[in-house]
Amino acid sequence: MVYNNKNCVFIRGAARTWNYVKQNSISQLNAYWNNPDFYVLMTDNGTVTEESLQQDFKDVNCVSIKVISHNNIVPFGIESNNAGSQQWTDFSTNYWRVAWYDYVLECEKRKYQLEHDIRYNFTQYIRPDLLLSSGNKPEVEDLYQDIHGIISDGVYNEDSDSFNSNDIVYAAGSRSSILMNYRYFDTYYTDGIPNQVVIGDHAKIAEYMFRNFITYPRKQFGSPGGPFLRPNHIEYYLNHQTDYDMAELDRMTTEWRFMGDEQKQYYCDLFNISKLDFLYKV
Amino acid sequence: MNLLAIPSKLKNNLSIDLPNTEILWVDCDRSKTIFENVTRCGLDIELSLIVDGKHLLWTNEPKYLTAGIVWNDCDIDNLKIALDKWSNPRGDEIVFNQLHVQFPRGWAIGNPRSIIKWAACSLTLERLVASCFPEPKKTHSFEYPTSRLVWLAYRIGLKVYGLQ
Repeated sequence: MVYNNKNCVFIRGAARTWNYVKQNSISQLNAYWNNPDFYVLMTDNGTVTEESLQQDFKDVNCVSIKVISHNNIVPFGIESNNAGSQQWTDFSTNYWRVAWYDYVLECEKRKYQLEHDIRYNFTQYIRPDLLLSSGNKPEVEDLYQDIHGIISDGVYNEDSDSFNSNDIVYAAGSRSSILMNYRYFDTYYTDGIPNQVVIGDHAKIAEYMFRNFITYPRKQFGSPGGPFLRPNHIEYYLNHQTDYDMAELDRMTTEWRFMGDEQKQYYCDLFNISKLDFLYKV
Repeated sequence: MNLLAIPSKLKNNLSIDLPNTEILWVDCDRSKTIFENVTRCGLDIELSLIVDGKHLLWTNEPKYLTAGIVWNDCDIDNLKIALDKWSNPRGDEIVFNQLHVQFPRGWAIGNPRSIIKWAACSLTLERLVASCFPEPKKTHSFEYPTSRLVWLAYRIGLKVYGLQ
């Protein structure tokens, strides 16, 4: 059987500043992954709608667009006080939220592959609010190993001597990609234990990778990535789209981190971003 | 309750009664590989488990405790015994009708979470086989594809058992 080999991109999470970075993101990803198929899932907080996303992706190959409620993300549902799940006293919501998004898109991806005789080589995962720039493209010939089992994310932090993945932005080979998308059904953090939060979210992802034989390539490759664009960055970014200064963005990121909820809400309102994209605590 | 995905072509071969079991008849394509058909069956199970944006497995009282995929009629009569014996498998358990390499496999049952993860990963087996095992030895008469399905189950961290 001969299949068409392509790459695909998952863009998932709260939309946040998506409306200000979307042109850059789509063009960067389209060029980097050679006209990939896009799978998009964003939270239904009001910043974007399915119609607005369809308009955003009208010039590229977009297979699936979903705008879903964040209430259904975690196993066993969420307690009314948003403190965690009904099953555990502590609960790693951030970990499960993205795991659920990836799983929903994985179903769409596999359905499309089966229906169209496509096999994806790499899947790029990004969140919507990144100011993307290109990384080092994986060179298949240089890797000398099973490219379908690799991932661009780091899994071990030598400084702290601990399992720790960088973030939820990475590229993965075909098998790694499927396995990563199935962490939503992983039993290790859920079955037979009273309390989930024994390690951090990033460590959870890293340990999952080890347990599933997802490997880090000998020759490191990067993938498109970049700094967050926070609402308080937008004005500066709009005035310096081609010559923005990373140090200035870092400074404003720190400013955002220590900003009170009221001031954050001011920036969200100013730029038509739903405050729920930032302030929900589920 | 059990949930099984079975290719429609096996409808006439399934002579036994499977109590407490829902069956999804899947239109598998004979021209496709066994791996792709297993993936297709797994996907049908998954799609039937997502209702109104929620996943039925992650509830306090999940409807299905066991899921399974049948890909040929080998040992199909033992399905009932297997479903009785493994009525509530743990989240990472999968059971094949047979683990011995000299006998072919026809089905796998287990916790729905194990079954759908394993079935999804089967889609990449074609490539793995091509890159890691380019020339299978011709001296072996047993069915290679089903051995690789067992190997895959180990490789993705499941606990693998054989009925026999």
